[in-house]
Amino acid sequence: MSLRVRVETSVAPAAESVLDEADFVIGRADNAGLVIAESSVSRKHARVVAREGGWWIEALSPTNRTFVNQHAIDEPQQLQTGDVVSLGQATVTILGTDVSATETVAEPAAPSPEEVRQAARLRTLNEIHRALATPISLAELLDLILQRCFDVLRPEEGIILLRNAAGELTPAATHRSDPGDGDVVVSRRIIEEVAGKGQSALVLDAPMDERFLGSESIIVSGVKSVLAAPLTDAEGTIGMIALSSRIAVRQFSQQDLEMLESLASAAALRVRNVALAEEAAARKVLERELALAHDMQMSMLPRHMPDRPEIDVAASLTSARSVGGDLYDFVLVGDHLWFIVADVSGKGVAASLYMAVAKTLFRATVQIDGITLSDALGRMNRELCRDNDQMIFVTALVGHMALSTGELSLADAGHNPAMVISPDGLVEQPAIQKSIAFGVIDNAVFAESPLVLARSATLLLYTDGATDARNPAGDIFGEVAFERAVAAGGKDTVDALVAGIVNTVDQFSADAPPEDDLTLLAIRWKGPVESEI
Amino acid sequence: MQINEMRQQGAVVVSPVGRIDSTTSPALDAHLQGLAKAGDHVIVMDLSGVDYISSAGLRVMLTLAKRTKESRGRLALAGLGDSVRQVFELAGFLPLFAVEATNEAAVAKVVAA
Repeated sequence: MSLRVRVETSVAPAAESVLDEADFVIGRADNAGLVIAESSVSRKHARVVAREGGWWIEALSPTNRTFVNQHAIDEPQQLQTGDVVSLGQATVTILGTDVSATETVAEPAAPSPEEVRQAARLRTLNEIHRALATPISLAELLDLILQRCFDVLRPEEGIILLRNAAGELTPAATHRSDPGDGDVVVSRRIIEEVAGKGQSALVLDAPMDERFLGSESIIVSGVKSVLAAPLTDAEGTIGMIALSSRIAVRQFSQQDLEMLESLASAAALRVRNVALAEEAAARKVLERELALAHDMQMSMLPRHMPDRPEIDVAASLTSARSVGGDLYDFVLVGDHLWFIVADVSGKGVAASLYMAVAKTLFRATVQIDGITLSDALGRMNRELCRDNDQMIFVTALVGHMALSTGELSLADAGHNPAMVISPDGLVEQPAIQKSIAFGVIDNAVFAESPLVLARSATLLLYTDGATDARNPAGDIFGEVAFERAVAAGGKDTVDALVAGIVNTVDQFSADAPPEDDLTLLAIRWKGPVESEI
Repeated sequence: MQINEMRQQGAVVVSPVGRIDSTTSPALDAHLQGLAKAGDHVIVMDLSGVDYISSAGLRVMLTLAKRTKESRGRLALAGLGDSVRQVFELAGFLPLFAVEATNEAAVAKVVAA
């Protein structure tokens, strides 16, 4: 089947053409099926499509109109032999609507456009089935599926939606015939119809179809015809594919829908497999990263407790798999023991690097001659605020103790309260003025609070991994239980105290994986060194 | 975690429901970034449905506060339960936020400016 026309323009002699494409554009564009090189003609002026055994013409340009026999057309119109189509200064006269290319020999009839499309559908299915059997990334697979749909079904827009981890359908691939025309939008109603009910849909006249009444995204974007199929495997609907056309004459058929359905069901299984494989690979990368972060964290802890006769010190850090980022450290500067217990928000290598910076800053800052606790923390904070786009913050309890007197200076940068255990095992929370965590406000001021430890009293610092531990039922260990665990070991050595608390929290959590690092630091002041006689 | 959202007098009221921890905070962060991309910078965070917020959740709130400030928007928190309030308090973050008891008060606060 073909269309024979005579084209007359103001710039070239009249010419006759035989057009045998089933769907082509008339216009000034180089890639138009019938090119008219005349400035008064739009690049894509009109479209001609073979349908229902005839040829139909549709205007593409709303401003530069198309006329058939002097009448401007608003609707697709069937062309008859003898019709004169006017586009700008050019005219196209229809000489014949069904002419064999060679009239002399009675060859078998050329396949109809519908037969041609049917063959193309089968070819496409075959190609995609073959592609599905080869190693291919999810993105490549989705692109291939859309690309092939465009080759055969010729929509204006296509989209594949896949369910994300939260179960929401999100765009995984989009394609459009005319690039740079905004996002591809699918009506919520179509998503409900197709992905929600697992049914495919063929909508021929979207603005009129009662299923889509009030469905603004279709009408506003001028979509006339929609073809959509669910991606379904044994476990249910994992997504959907939708193709849409804005042009009335290029409507999808039931055969198109069948092709899309069979494509979608073949693709669904493969999409699931590829997605699972990619997820597993991503998980492996994350696991490696977390292992690296864990090693970094452990390598940063002090290897020895400070060795001074005035104090006993014990510490423990149990790192959780997912959150991470605790730190403790101490530095002896003259008669003073500086110490820190900190919790970096965030996880993985980024948090570990931040922790390394915090530790280095702590060690460097406290050794500045005569620096006060407030000034030291102000400096640390300013450095930690620098380039902190990720808003990683560090909560910390920092202080120093005069070993000869047991006098303490403590500062709370957004951290859990400290505890003091008296020699007879009573537990209390000393009043420490609250300041903001490190890394949030670069000119933050850090208040320091004084405290004197009695002889044989113990200062205990901890992170929220102690109080926020959960058991398999999801209950939180809590501050009350934590305080009881502290009191239970109050008269033990600091090593036994720390080990006892860790043990109690462990028993509570049972098999529940720890959500956060658990860090404890206990410093007991034994009194000044007796001067020898 | 579920995230509900409604519009009141030109403010967007975002109501996460459930735990905001390292598992759920990326979804909340993505949701809030989506609002910013759409040009919504007048925001009320209704935390009345939140029973737990971890440091990862605090980071999402800090990031939101920073972004809102940079785009000259307004942000207020509402409906903080005791345990959620305590987490903000412990980290020293309460002074960083406008905190109101109810959504109505928080909406009035961000819209009035």
